[in-house]
Formats: sequence, C-alpha cells, structure tokens
Amino acid sequence: MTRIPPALIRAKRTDRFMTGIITMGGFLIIAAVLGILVFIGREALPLARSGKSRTNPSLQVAPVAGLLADESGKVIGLLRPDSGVECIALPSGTPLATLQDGPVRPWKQATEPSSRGEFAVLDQENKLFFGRLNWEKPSGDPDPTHWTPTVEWNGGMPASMDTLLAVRALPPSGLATQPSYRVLASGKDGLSWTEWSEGALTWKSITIPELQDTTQAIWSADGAHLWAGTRSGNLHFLSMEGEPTLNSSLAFGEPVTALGFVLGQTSLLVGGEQGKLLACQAIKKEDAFLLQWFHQFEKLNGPIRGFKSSLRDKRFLAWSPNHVVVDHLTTENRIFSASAQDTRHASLSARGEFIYAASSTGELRSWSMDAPHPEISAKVLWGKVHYEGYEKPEQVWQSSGGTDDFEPKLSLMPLVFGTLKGTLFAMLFALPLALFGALYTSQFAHPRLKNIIKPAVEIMAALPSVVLGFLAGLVLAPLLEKSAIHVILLPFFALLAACIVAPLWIRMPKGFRLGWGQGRETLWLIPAIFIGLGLCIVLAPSFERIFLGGDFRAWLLAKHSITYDQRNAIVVGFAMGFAVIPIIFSVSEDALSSVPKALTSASLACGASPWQTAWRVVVPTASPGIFSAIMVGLGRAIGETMIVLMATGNTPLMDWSPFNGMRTLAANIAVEAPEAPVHGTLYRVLFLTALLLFALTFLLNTGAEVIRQHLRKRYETF
Amino acid sequence: MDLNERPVIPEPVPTITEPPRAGEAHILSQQGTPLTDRAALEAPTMVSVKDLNLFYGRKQALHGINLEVGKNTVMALIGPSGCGKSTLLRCINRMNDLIDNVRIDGHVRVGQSDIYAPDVDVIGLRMRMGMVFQKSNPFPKSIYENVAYGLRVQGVKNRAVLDEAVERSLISAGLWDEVKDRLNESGLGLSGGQQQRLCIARALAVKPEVLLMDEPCSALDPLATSRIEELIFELKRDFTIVIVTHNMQQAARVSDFTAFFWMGKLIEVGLTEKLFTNPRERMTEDYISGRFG
Repeated sequence: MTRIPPALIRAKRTDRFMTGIITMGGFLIIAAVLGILVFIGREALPLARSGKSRTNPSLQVAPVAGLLADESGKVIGLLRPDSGVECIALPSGTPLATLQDGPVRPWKQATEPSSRGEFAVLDQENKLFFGRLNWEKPSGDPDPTHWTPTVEWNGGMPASMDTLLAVRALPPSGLATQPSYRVLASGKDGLSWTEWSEGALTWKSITIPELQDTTQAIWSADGAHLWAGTRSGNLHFLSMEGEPTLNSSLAFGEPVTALGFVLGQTSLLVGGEQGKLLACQAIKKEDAFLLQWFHQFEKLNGPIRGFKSSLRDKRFLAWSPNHVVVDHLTTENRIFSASAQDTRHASLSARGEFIYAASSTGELRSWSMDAPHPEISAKVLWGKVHYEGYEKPEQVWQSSGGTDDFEPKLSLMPLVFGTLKGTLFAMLFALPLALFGALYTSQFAHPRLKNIIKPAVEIMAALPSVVLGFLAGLVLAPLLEKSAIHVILLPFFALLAACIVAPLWIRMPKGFRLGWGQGRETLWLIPAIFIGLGLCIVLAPSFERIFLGGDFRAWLLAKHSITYDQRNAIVVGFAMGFAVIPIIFSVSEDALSSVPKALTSASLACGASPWQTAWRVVVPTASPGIFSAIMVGLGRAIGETMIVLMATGNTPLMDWSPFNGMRTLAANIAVEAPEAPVHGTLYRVLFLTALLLFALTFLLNTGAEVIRQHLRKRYETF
Repeated sequence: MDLNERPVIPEPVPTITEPPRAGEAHILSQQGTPLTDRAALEAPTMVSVKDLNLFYGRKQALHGINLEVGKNTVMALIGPSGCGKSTLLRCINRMNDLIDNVRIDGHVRVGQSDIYAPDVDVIGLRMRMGMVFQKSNPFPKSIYENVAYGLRVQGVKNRAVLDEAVERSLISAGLWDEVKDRLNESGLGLSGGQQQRLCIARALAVKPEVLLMDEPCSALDPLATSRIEELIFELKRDFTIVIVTHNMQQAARVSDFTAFFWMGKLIEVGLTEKLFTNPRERMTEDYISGRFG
C-alpha cells in the first residue's frame, strides 16, 4: 500500500469543493433567469384568461318595470309602477325600503332606467317625472341595512303625450342647480320633443317622414343630436339644435328594437328584432357627420330588448326575452352569455361584476362575473382594431386618456415597430463605424496608434446611457434641428474630400510616404474631413436656399408631407449608436486581432496586399466573432431604455421616416409602469411587453449562437 | 513567366567553404539517389545574401551573413533554436517587414533584383516567392480556394486558368489523387500531412522562383514527413528551395547544400554530404554529432 500524500488529498478536496461551488453558481444563475421568466409570465398570463361567471340563486319578487343595480351588488332597486321604487338586499331578498313619494301610482309608463339609475315616469295623471335613485352609504359601513335609498324627483308637469321614447338628463348649465331634460315622446300627432328645465312643457313636433315608424330613440350625450331606429330597419341621425334636421341615415336590415350607448356615449349599440347587434358611431368630419357601423357582435336569440353599459369600461349588457349577454365593444368578444326564459328587464352593475335579469312573473335571476381584462384579445394586441373616433381599423398604442370613459388602445405593434426602428437606425450608424474601425485598428493601424484607439473607444462604453440620452435629447436634438441639412450633406462632402486626398497621397514621393510609416497615413484624412466639414458649413445654406426653398423642414413638409420632429430617429441613431459602437468595436476588434498570425503571414507570403489579406482571410476567419459582436450590439440596442426614452418624443408611431420619433418596448415600460395600477390590464400588458422583449432577445441570441457555431465550424482554425 | 528565360546574374561569388570539384560531382546518398549532380554544383545563383545584418531593436539577430543559393538546388539552413535561420529565411521574401522595430542592412538579391532597394514593390516580390510555414496554415476555405488564393489576389478570374493552376499545383504537391473529388470541401478537413502539402500546393500555384520552407515537417508524423521529403526532391527540378530544418537527417536527405548557423552567424556552408561527413569547423561537428544544440 502506498500512502497518498496529504497534500494530494487536500488538493483533491479543494478541487471537489470548488467544482461544487462553481456548479452551484451556474445553476443558481439559470434558476434566477428562469425565475424571472416565470414571474413575468405569471403576471402576464391572466390577460389570456377568459371571463368566469357564476349563477347566483334567484329570488321571487313582484313584476317590475326596470332594475336599478348598485355597484356593491348587495342591494338593488326595483321600479314598480304600482308601488314605487322598492329596494331589497341581496342575495337574501330582504325588503329594505319602498319609496312611494313622487308620481301618483300606478304609473302609466316608466322608461328603462339608465346605467346611472336615471329614469322617467308618466304617472296616473299623465304628469312627467324624472327620477334618480341614490344610495346614501355611511362611510365604510358594509351592512346594506344601514344604507338609505332616496329618489330624487324632478318635473311633475302635465305631459299630454302617450309614450315616452327617449329622455336625456343634461347637467345643470350656467346658474341652474337642477339638471335639464330633453324628452322625445310620441302622441296622437306623432313625434314631439321638448326641453324641460322648469315650468311647463312646450312640445315641438317633428315632421320628418323617415321618422314616422320610429320604434326606438336615444339622445346624444349633449342632447344636441338624436338617434332614431325605425321599424323599417333604418337608423337616423338627427341634429336637434334649432329645427330638427335629418343628418344622415344607415340601413340596419331589420326592425330596430333597442338602442343604447356604451360608456363614453359615442358608440351606439343597435339591436334588432332577429337579435342582430351592431355598434355605430358618428365621426365629425368638417361640417358633416360620417356615420359608420364599426363593430359587429354575435347575434342574440330573439329580439334585443335593451342595453346597459358598464360605468368602468367598454363592456355592455344586452338582453332579449330569452338571452342575456355581456359583450366588450373593443374586442367584440362575448364575455358572458346565459339563456334566461322570459326576461323582461336586466341590469349590469357599474363595474360589470353583477348581472340581474327580471322575468315577467317577477323572478329575479342574478349572476356574478369575473372578467378582469375583457379589453385584451390577440386582435387588440397584434391586429388592427376599429377604435371609437377612428375612421378605420388601426394599430394604436394609447394606454390612457384624459377621461374615465376613454377606450384603451393597447396594440403592441407600434412598440415592436419602434423598437425595430430605433435598433435599425442605431445599427445603421454604429455598424459601419464600429466594424471598419475595428478592421482598421486590428489590421492596419500602427501598434502605437492601436494602443491609444482601443482604450479610448472602450471608454465610450463607460458613459452612462442616461448621460447619452440627456446629451442627445437636450443638446444634440436642437443642434440637429438647426443644422439638419448640414448633417445630411456632411457625409458627401467628407467622402468628396477623402476622394481628393487619397489620389494626392499616392502621388507623393515614395520616400516621404514610407517615412510616414505604415498605418499612419490615415491621419491625413483628418484634415481632409475637416475641410469637408468646412465646405459643408459654407455651402449648405446656399444649397438649402437654392434647392430646398430656404427651409429644409418646410420643404420636407410641403414636398413630401413629412413632419420633422426635433427628437427623431436620427438623434436616436446617433445616441444609441454611440452606446453600441464600443461594444461592437471591442468584441470584433478582439476577434479580428485573434486571427492566427500564421494565416495572415500565409496570405501575405502569397503576395496578397494587406487589404486583400484583411478582406479575404482575416474577416472571414473572424466572422463568428464579428457576428457575435453585432448580435451583442443588437441586443443592447433592443433593450436600451434611457437613450430612447430621452432622445425621442416617445410617440408610438408606425412610420419609417427618420425625421420622426418612435416608442420602443423598453422605453414604454419605463414610461408607463409608474402609472399602471398593480394587476390592472395595463400593468399586465406591460409585463407582456417585458416578456416579448425577453423573447426577442432570447430568440436573437439563440439564433445568433446557432449561426455563430455554424460559422465557427466552417472557419475553425487550429 | 518561364524561369529559364530569366537572365541570371553572371558573378557567382561562392561562399561555399569547399569549392566544388569536378571529382565530387557524383555523390550518392544512402539510398543510392544522387543528392547533388553536376548541374547543382554549376547552377547559376538564384538567391544571394550579402553582408546582411539584422537588428530587432537594439539586438542584432544576424551578423554579416553571406550566402548564395543556386538555381534548382536545395539549401538547408540548420542550427540550434534562435540562431537566426528562420529570420534569414524571412529576409528573403521580406516577411520581416511586418515586425515592428526591425532594421536590416546589407543586400539580398533574388534573380537579378535587389529586394531591399527602396523602389521594390514588396507585394510583387512576394508573388515571386512561395513560402511554407512550420505549422500547416490552410485558410478556412475550400481546398480549391486555398490553392487558387495566390492567383485570386493577383486578380485572376478566368475559371479555366484557375482550374489548370489548381490541378497542376495539387499534382506537384502530390495531393491531387487524394483530394480531386472533394475540392470544394474545407481545407481544414484534411490530415496534418495533407494540410501541409496543401500549403505547398498553395505556394506552388503562382509558379514561384524560390520556395521558402520554414521547418515544414516539424509538426508532422514520420510518414507524412517522408512524403514531404520525397516531394521536395521532386520539386527541386522546377524550383529553388531554401529549407529551414531542425532535423539533421532531413537536411542530409533532402538538401544539396547545408548552411549551419549559430548565434546569428553563418558558421559554415557547403555541400551537404561534405558538411555532414567532414565539417571544417569544430562547432559544426559538435552540433551535428549532437554535442550541443
């Protein structure tokens, strides 16, 4: 037996220990990356989930003329022509209060209450009342038995009309404290309308022949326009300022049985006798209105009886006598669908979580719905969607607006486009400079020059990108705006100067040229470029004056209808290119320098010139390294945030013009994340963009690695 | 360009230690092959080095070298590592220009031109030389493109000319039969010996006047080495060869003349047979008998 020396045992133990630590470190890194991926994925995943709904036990109440849902889902108001407004607690059905004041019962007619709890009543004495149900909830008290309902009544003047068709409460204007109301009603003489603020009603009759068979009507949000649907299957749009005039009409195809607005009161829902469901909008174009159908929904079973919109987003409730559905306007998706026999009235709570339907016999059915992100669909994210106020389907990113009823536009395409555009411009600027710089430095420059150039370029990488972005946005962009034409002309002048200097250099005496030293003749190009610059500065204004009418930007706008933004793709190209150059330069210079001397020697010994050697032997051999340099640079450019954030206007445009800006995926996350409510739709969409960025970089790197391995196998040396 | 039409310099100043005598014109090697025939001894000078001093910075690497290589002969340069034999070889095609801080004085003539004259076109000069390196260094290109490289950089695009040159060179390098079916495969897929012969073919493709070989067999196994040695023997008919080698048997086997270097000085040069059997200098004898080096 030979004794193993203790030093060897120690060495082996250390070896095992270090192997363990290094392996563990590697696995931890992989686990961390996977963990991040899983986290991002988990935050984004609920976007793909479709809504869930649950049927709640139904209650038996007396027959109603309308339902007034409450946001809490704990109480509901029942409009009962014979006994007033009855309030009950849910889900027990315990009566809380019956509000009997106001109009004389039994009412002749009660209109379908709006989503905000507003309704109108024609009472027994044919007086017109406007009502609104309010709940007074002591703050923080969750017990509905402590809540007090009140109905705020207005009006009460003789109406002399048979049927109320449309009522619109207009917010108090001027010194008035009470809302005013616009009413459309039909009587023996046909359609009449009135505006009531106080005092008596003065009916003005509408004598437009197209409106003779009007079945449904609805006032626009400001009461200035009226939509009317007819039995003959037409939708008319009337201007009600001054004398009622018919603006324009659309054919619907079947008798209109219901009209209703989606939140924001710009998209009009039209329901027909066969269950047809379309959305329509009127876009103001100069003086005229353009009416268009812009969303189409799945048909309902049976004639549509009414609509209720959510007060938070663009979902809405529609019902027919045996079908209750909730659709989303933007996505056209059906979030909820239930068949409910003999449904007369239905209601949707403000947040769209509770759905109620009452039958003619007084059965009150209810459902709970959980659809947190109904506004997201694959089409919204990637396809063209027809948004409110847009003439045609488009890909738009606009996550928030000035009002609560804003329709979020969450197309990712403009962001992906912006990312690609920014990367492209950065690469256009950086690639030639970095690669040719690396080629020159590694193959032609005098070693002493190389020892200066390389560290100098690498110091560029040490500049924080926020500084670069700052300089680009606040210094470079205004400068570029002032002298755009100079910048565009400079490359041509510089090239011209170089083309003049190069032949001159060849004509110099040989002794002088050799004395100057190999690789240093390039220094002569520097004054040449300065001369080019000087010429450019001197000549550009005249060029602008003669060819471009004195103002480049005005010329651009007039001749090519391209607007010039101050913070545009060129600025980003410069700034992000500046950030990317050191990476590409450094990695590809290393690759070029590490081409075996034996190969260059062999090439030179074959009689190749240094340029031929560089181009035919060194570059192909170093191509895997150069390729990874480009890919690393590309990865950096795609993920770069601060520079694009500061150097562009962050406008999510889809336009290749170099004179306007873009919004990239990364910058978008930086801009919007602070404003996105946690677990909201925007929040999750931002995580989705993060996932996309991750996938983009991952695919790019994997693809690059595959190609690099392939190249390496091909150009493998020694 | 035909080598035979080229006028040769008329003044061969032999620095050979033993001027060749008529009686020694037939020297037989061990295998019975004539190493040096009369033609070799009477060959006109192809490469002549005169009073060559070379400095790497302050350090002098070559001291007053005088050497002549006859046309269509093989000159072997031997000596211990660092003695300057490779440096001398690289002076002949000015590859030392690539190294920083090198200063050269003296004269090197190839054919009739002084290659260190100020108006010499280095690239044109290198086209007249072929060089084979210590380690095989085929380009990461196809076999065909490797051989055609020298012509391609001269701007030859005619496919027929290239095809002819590739075939001729590969045949000369004794590689044609092994690779003729896979000319488009990478040169890196060949074995070490084949790669080295590919490099020789590459050097031959431009029909060089002089073939410079820098320890061409040092990285090869004995079989591949003997293959290359046979090749050198055949190439001698068309080319002038200068070969640097560490292997004294190899020098003895392939060369007509041998020059022994030590510490940057040329100690002795002479007919190979003579130098190995009966060296004039004590130092040469010590080296070839393995007492130092």
